[in-house]
Order: sequence, then structure tokens, then C-alpha cells
Amino acid sequence: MSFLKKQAAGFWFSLITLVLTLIGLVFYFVNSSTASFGNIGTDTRVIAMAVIAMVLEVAIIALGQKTEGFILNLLYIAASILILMSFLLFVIPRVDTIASILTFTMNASTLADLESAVAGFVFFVIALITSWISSFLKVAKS
Amino acid sequence: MKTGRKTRVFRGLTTVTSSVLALSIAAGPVINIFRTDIDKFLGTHSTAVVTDESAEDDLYTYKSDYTSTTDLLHAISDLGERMEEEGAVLLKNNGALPLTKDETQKVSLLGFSSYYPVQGGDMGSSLVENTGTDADTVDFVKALAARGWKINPTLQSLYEALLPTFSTEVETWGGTATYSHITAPSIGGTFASKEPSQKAMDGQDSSWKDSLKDNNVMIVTLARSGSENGSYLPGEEGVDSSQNLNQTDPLGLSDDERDLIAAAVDAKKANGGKVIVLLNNSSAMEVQEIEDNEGVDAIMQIGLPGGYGFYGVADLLSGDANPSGHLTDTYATDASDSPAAQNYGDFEYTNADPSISMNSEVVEAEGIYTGYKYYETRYEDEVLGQGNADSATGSTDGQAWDYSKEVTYPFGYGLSYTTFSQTLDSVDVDLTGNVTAKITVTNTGSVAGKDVVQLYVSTPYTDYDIEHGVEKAGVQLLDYAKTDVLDPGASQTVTIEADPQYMASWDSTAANALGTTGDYILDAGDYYFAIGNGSHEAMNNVLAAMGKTSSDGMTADGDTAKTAVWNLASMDTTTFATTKNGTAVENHMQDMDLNYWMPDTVTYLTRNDWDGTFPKTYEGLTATDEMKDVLDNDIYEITENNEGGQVTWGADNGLTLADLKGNSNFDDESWSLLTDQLTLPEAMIRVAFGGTSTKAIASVNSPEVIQNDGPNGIYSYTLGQYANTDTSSSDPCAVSADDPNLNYKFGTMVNETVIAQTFNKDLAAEYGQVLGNYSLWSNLTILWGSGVDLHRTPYNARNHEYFSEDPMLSSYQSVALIESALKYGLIVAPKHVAFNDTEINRTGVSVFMTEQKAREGELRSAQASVEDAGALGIMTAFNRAGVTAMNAYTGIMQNVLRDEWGFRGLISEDFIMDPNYAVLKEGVMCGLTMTTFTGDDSLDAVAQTFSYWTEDNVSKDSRLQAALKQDLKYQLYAIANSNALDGLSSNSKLVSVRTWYDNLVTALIVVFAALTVLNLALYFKSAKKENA
Repeated sequence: MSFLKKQAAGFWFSLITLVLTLIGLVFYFVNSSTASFGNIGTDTRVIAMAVIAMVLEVAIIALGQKTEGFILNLLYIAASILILMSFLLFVIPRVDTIASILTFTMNASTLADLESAVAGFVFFVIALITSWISSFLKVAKS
Repeated sequence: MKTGRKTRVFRGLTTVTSSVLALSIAAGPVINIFRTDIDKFLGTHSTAVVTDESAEDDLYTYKSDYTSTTDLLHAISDLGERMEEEGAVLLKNNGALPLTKDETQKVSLLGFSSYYPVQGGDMGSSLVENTGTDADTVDFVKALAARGWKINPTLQSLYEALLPTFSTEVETWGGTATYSHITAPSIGGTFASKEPSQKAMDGQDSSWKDSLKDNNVMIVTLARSGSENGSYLPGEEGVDSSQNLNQTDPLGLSDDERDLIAAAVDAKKANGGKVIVLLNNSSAMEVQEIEDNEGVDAIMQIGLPGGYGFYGVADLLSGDANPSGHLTDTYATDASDSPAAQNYGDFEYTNADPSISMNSEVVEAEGIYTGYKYYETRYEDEVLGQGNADSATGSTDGQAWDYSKEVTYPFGYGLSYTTFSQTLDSVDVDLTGNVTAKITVTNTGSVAGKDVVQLYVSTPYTDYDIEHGVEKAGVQLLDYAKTDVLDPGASQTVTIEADPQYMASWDSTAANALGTTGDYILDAGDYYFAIGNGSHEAMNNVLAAMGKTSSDGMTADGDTAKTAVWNLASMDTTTFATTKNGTAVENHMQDMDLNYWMPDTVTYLTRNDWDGTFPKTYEGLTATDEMKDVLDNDIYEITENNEGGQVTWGADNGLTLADLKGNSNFDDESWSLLTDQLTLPEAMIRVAFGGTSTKAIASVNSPEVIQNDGPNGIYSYTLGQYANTDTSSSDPCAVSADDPNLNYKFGTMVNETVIAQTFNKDLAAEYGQVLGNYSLWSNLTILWGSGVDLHRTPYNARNHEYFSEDPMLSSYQSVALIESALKYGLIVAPKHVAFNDTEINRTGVSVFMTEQKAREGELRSAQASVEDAGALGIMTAFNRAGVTAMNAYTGIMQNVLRDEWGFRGLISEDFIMDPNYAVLKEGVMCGLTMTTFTGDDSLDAVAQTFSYWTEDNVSKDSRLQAALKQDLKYQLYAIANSNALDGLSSNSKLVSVRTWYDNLVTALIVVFAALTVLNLALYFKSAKKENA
């Protein structure tokens, strides 16, 4: 409990970033198994970059308890870029299918498939934003 | 290390700017992936062709008939109006029409569709509303106002106030789209009537009925919409049951619609006046009760009139134009009782597998008996007392089947304000030439008008046919023509030169010259040629020639004088054993029959036993392992082989595509020399990524060619998006940058059903002419715009994009359109070859049928577009042919299209976005020239979509390479014979163009790189200061 009381806003935003990235990744897996998007398959780069970004968020939280030196600065930059790249690699292969659903193949089933894609996109984008916000903030109060 | 607030701010800014820098750097490759679509959206160009115009005399092969976009748009609006005038069908008229001048001043428009009509599809061939141009579009009210009519203002205000109650909300992702007009049900949805009830109308304005006293010319508009990706379902299953409106079919009437008509009829009884019903639809409606309603004076079917058609409707109602349209579809009393409707719906495989787009099936067990070919044939057998035709099976009332109870208006039927007599002067049959019929038409009425001549043939149905499973329609349309405007008393002799090959029937059991089976045959016996106002009158005339009268159960006596008999002494199995290009025919589609995979599963309807073979519904099918081996789409295995011989790539022959401009000799050696210059990667990329435009090919200087959707015009882009605004060039169609019509979009023509209802090939040709001219001004060269699928049932909501239930009418309207457009270098492609008979699960649905049905139905509908019109493009269908993805179906793609018909043009898939179902390697083997994917111009990008499509794989497969090269030859041949090469010469050079967004990305990279460095420096400076 005392650990949490010591944490500043940066801690919470990093934690939120981690959780949002994880949720985004879960939606990625869900979407990759849908009928509409299943044939795109899963891209190990999306998974790897998202996982590394989450690890970096843990590292930021851990390192931020002791020091906020240049290494932490690099971690913020790296985490943000990895979330961004993971997001882009999530989105790009899906653009054509999304266009197809929104124009030619729209029905209840394809729209349901689309929802998981869009949910994943949204979580990744919010994770990127919270990642940015966290980089402006202290992790621990002292 | 201490980190103060200032340092954290710079840390944050560094994080943000570095992220944006990364995004900017990534944007370059991402833009390349989507460059085609970005350019389309923004109107930018990433490639350009530079030509030294001074070195050439005339770079422009094709000439416009117009000198300005104003003239062009006026021609479009004029044609749209005339198309409607000749395409609307007068179905009933007790003399109420045409209206007098005085009557046009006291008109009450009833029904919300009078104010918010369906003018195009909800999706696909939708109306583009144009404003601020030289040809602004109009709805019914605006058209009437333009013609000086006066409309009951009380009703107009009432309906406008009720708008929210009959607006239709269509669920889309993230929200809803609202349409003011009635919409077709989405897939899986039901039809909900939106006609305001009498109670709702009274509640809005109780004086509306009183207003009918002074405005007693009452026009009631009833509508059913058309839509891509939409479908009606037969019977009550297709109706929103919660409405309780006593509606038994989505194409039948609801109580609210009945009440509206009744209110008009009651008002007429009280006040005098007239009641006229307009049918605003493309799928045949069930309107027997309106026909039977003596209070309704007239019924006119107006189709979906597009942006200018309502001018034509107004002129027809007032008598400024005389109706001459005829129905393209049978208007059945209850369409759900037809044999085809028994297998129309969502029939999922029990072992459906979305990963291979394996979803559902449709078994077309009705065989050739769709539309009038069912109703008239069964009627003939009813009269002749054969084939158990009078059994109760398939009847609307459960009693003995009776034609008069089944059909309200037959195919080909239509009335005029005048009367005509037609005499069949002669019919000469030359099987190696034409069937030449001369028909004299005389206007026997009191006003001028045009008439339609319909030539039908009744071929003998023999014991051989019964034994070998060959089916014959009682009558089939062979050809048709429209007269000039005939003044009262005037006559015209029309000569029809019909193609006799379309009298032949496909016999899958017949031995052929190749030593296999499958041949076109002509049975021995009497061939009856007949004319008539529609298929039923022609059938009655044939029956009269057979000696039958109304005492034999005919609905009316026929006229023997309107028939001619030609006898074939013995069966002919040779005349049509080879096609027009000399290719011997044989069975190519036997596996489209479900019985091929599941023996004895399907009983096909035969006229030999209507009762015992009437289709049951085939549902709950489980695909066998053998079927799944094909359904998985992985049909062609890339192997190391030399079956295609040595395939040359990358040769230096010094040719450009412009050197072959207008070269229509496909066998010219120059084509081989040209395609030898292609590199293998170029060919692989261009076929794999052919979406929305055929891309430039550097090695032969082939320009980018823009593709457009239709069929109600060239509506994908505005007139100005690709127009040449360099007025200093020698381009005769260059436009000024401030041309008032640059924002015009040509999605304004009447729907295809109306075009067919004109029965006028000249009008279809005029449509091709304005499309061709528009193409020259807009620089849009490919139009997926001649819908040749058939109206198998009226329930396919996409019928509005297709001409008719009849293949010959569809075929010849398409021929006229395509042939005419090609004179201006516009490639109009027939679509969707073939069998887009339902939009339900269209991406992958297995369509099963006999080869006879396939060949005599939808393939026949497309055949003349290739054989006679020389079409240079084709779009294939989403669906499967049996278990095989259409683009992988050799039987049609290669054996029929390329070989039997001699098709030499480009072929595109429809918008298939699943790489597995897009069947690239199989498509290439089948003559496909492009998928609809887009992407970066690299093999790596292609391989990310199609993992097997690598240079290593393809380069070892000689057979595949040979097919690939041949496909590019088809594509280049089509482009060279289009207006895409206008302005190009041998000295033309393809150059890359940096667009403004390319420059923006570069600027962003520079700016955010600088900002990142700056923030980083400030971070260090701040941190140093804080820790000093």
C-alpha cells in the first residue's frame, strides 16, 4: 500500500499504457481469428513490438522508482515508437478488408468482425497517447 | 539523477516528436501501399506521360461529338429523358392517360415515393445528385414543376412533414445511414413498409382528403428499391412480421399501400377524377390486385428513372410522349411460387468454412425454366395436356395450375396511347447465316408512336430431348427491333436478322467432333416463329398455329398469321458444333451440376413432368471431401516445369505500347515482341495489384488506365478529376480549369432494366455513344458497366444493375452499348460473368446448375458482347461456379470466354479482398489479367498478400509464366485499342511525379527530425543544469 502511495501520475499512466497495449493485443488476436480477417494471419512483429513495449513500460515503472536519467528517456521513446509501429502493422493489412466490409460485404457478421479490429485500433491509439502523457510525468513522488 | 519539471517537459516533447518522426518515416512506405487509392481520393497523379506533341500530326485517335462539357451534359440529360420515355411501360389504361393540359394543373401526388422516389440503387448504380452544373438532376416533383404542372400543396406539405416516419435507417458500422426513399432489405433483413398509414396521414393533416376534391388527378407511386449487397426473401419470410400489414411478400402490397389506393379510388368516386398508379421498381412487383381494381385507371411501370427520367415520366403522363416500353420481366401473381424461388435464400453448408470463403449454396434446380420460360412453357403444356402441367404443384392457390392465375403481366408486354397492327410477312431460315424475318407494323390508332417487334421461336421438344435431358422453352425471344415514330396510318416494314445459333440447345450427352460429349443441337421437327406483344401473345400465336383455340384452355385465341413454320428434317448436330471462331464445343461445366459431386441429389425440373420434378429446396448440404479439395481454392500447384517453353522477359526490342496503338490484329508478331520486353516482376505485380486502375508499365510505356463503376454512368469520379486542364495541348477534349461542369458525376442514367424496357438497340447505342464521349472528356477509359446477369428471380435486389430475365434482350442491349462505346475508345465491360443470381453470401456462394442452363442462360447473355461487339473487358463474379471460385474456373474463364468466344480483352475480378479467395495463381492460369488489390509497386508487397507469388516460385514454373505473359498481352491489347493511348506517341515517356503529399511527408520528416534533436538537446541542457 505504501508503494502505491509513493507513486506519481507517471506511474499510473505507464500502468494504463501497459494495460491498454495488452488489451489492444488481445483484440489483435481476437480479430486475427475472425472469418473476415483470419486470412491475414498474425504478424509476429505486431506481437513482438507490443510485448516489448509492455516490458519497457514495466522497466519504466521500475527504473522510475530510483532515477529518471537518460535511460528512462530512451525507454519512453522506444515504448512509444514500438506501440506506434505495432499499431501500424495491425492496421495496414486490414485496410483493404475494412474497405470491402464497409462497401461490398457489409452484414452483421462482417460488422462484428470489424468491431474487434476497430476496438484493437482504439486501444493502441489510446495506449500511444497515455505513453506520451506518461513521458511528461514523474513515476514516483520522490 | 534529478529530473525537474522542465526536463520532464523536454523528455515528453522528445518522446512525442520522435514518435511523429517515426510515423512520418513510416508514412512513405505506407503511402506507396495505398498510393493508387490516395491519388483517386485526392485527385493527384503519381505518374505522368510526357509527349513531344510537335513531333506528331494527330495524337488523338478518338474524337468527341461535342465541343464543350455543356453540350456533353445536355446530351446526357436529353438521353436520360428519352430513355425513360421509351422505357417506361404502360401496363393498364382505360383511357385515363394521357392527361389533358387542364388535368396537369390539379394533380395530387400520393405515396411518399412520389416525393422521395427511388432513382437509383441504394448501393451500386446509385443516383448522383448534381447541382450547379449544366445538367442538374431532378426528382419527380421538380420535373413536374419544370413542365408547369400544379401539385396539391396540402399533400406535399403533409408528406414533407411526415418525412421522419418513412425515412429508413440502415445500420452501418459506427452508426446509421438515413435514406428518404424506400430501401431494399440488407442481407438477412426483411422488408418493412414505410408507407404512412391513413391514420398517420389524418393525424398530420385531417384535411388531406378534402384537398383531393380540387386536385382529383391522383397519382399514387409505389416503390421497391434495388441495391447491391441487398436481397428480398420470397414470401412472408421476407416481410417484417411485426408490422402486421397483411403483406405476404416483400414485392407484394402492404395494407398501408392498399389503403392509399383505396382512398384515391374513394375520392374519385366522390369527386370524379382519375387514379393512376406508378410502379417505381426494378424487381418485378406483385400487382394483380391493382390490375383487378376497376377504380385504378392506369398503371405505369417507370423503373428507377435516374436523374433525368422524371422529365420523361411527366411527358408520358401528359401525352407529350407516347409509351413504347415493354416489360423485361414476368410480373407474376406470386413470385414465390416460381420454381426458381424454391431455391432462393440463405442455404449454408453444414460444414461452412469462412477461412476459404465457403459459405452457402444455391441449387438452380429449375433448370432453364426461369421467368417467362417457365410460365409460358408450362402454359403450353397445360393447353397441350402434357407433362402434368395442370397439377396443383407450384400453383398460387393450391388448385390446378392455371396460367391466368399465375401471371399478371407477361414478359415483353406493354401498351401505347395508340394501337398497332403487326403482320409477319416472311421468315427465312439460313442456319449458316441469319433467321431473317420481315414484319410490317402499321399505326392503326390516332396518335404517333413507336412499336416493338418481338420475334420468338418455339423449338420442337422431342422424345430425344426427353431421353437425353434436353429442355426446351415453349417460346424464347430470338431477337427484337423497334420501329421509328409512326404517324397514324403509317406503316414500316422491319427486318430482323436473328442469329440462328441461339435456337440451338445444349445437349450434354451428345457426341461431338472432338470425340467427347456436349454439343449444340437442333432437333428435327417444326420450328414455330411468332411475333406478339409479349411472350404470352407469341405463345398463343404458336398454339394457334398448332391448331389450338380458347376452347382448349388457352387464355385467348392466337393468330396463326403471326407465325411461320420452318421444318428441320433431321437433327442437326454439326452446324453449331463449332463456334464463330471455329472452336469445337464440348462439355466444360459438368461439375457445376451438384449431381457431379453428390450423385442423384438434385432432381431438375423437366417439362416432361412438372408435378414430379418441381424443385424442392436444397438446404443443409454437407460438402464432401472431394468438394472441399476444390472449395479450398488451392487448385493450381506451382511446380518446376517447362510446359510453357522458354518464356522471354526483359528483351530490348525498342517498342512502346504506343507503337501498337490501334493494332487490332491480336496475332501480329509485334505483340509478342512488345510483351517480351516486360520483366517478370512487372508482370507479376501488375496482375496481382490491378485494383481501381491498371497501373503504368514502365518497360513498354503503358499508361495508368482508370477503372470506373457503372452501369448507370461513369460515376466513380467527377468529370474533372482526370480531365486534361492543359488547354494549350492539342487534346480536343481539354477543358478549362474553371469549367462549370468539372464536379459533375455521371451516375445519372436510368437503371438497366429501363434501358432494356425500351427494346431499342439504337437507344442503347446512344448510351454507349454518350458514355464514350464522356470518357474522352473525363479521361476515364474502363467502365464496369454492362450488367448482363439475369433476373433469375425478382428477389435479387441487384436486378436494377442487370437488364432482364431474358438472355437475348440482355445480350443485344449490351452489344449495342459496348459496340458504340468502343467507337470512342471506351472499354465497357460486361459484368458479372457469371451467375450473380443472389447477393446473399455473394463472396463464395456455390451456384450449381446444369450446363444447359449455364450456356443458354447467363453465358448466352454475355456471349454476343464478346463475339459480336468485340468487348475488350470483362468483370467476373464474386460467386463460385459450383465449387470453384469463378476466377479459377477454367471451364468458363478459359474454355468458353477465351477459346469458344475468342475474348481478347482484359479481365478483372470483382472487389475480392480475401487473398485466398482471390485465387491469383489459378486466375492467371485462367486468363485473369488483374485482381482488385492495390499495393506498393514491389514483389515484396505482393508476396505479403499472396505468399506464393514470389519471383523464385513463378520463375521456375514455365507454364505459369506463359499464362502470365499471355494475360499481360490481353491487357495491353485492350489498352492499345482504347482511348487510353490518346495523346501518346512512340516518343512518350512515363515519368514519376512527386505529389504534394509526398513533399508534405518529406517536410514532416525534416521538421520532426529537427524538433526531436532540438528537444533532446534541450533535455540534456536542462538535465545538466538541474544536476549542476
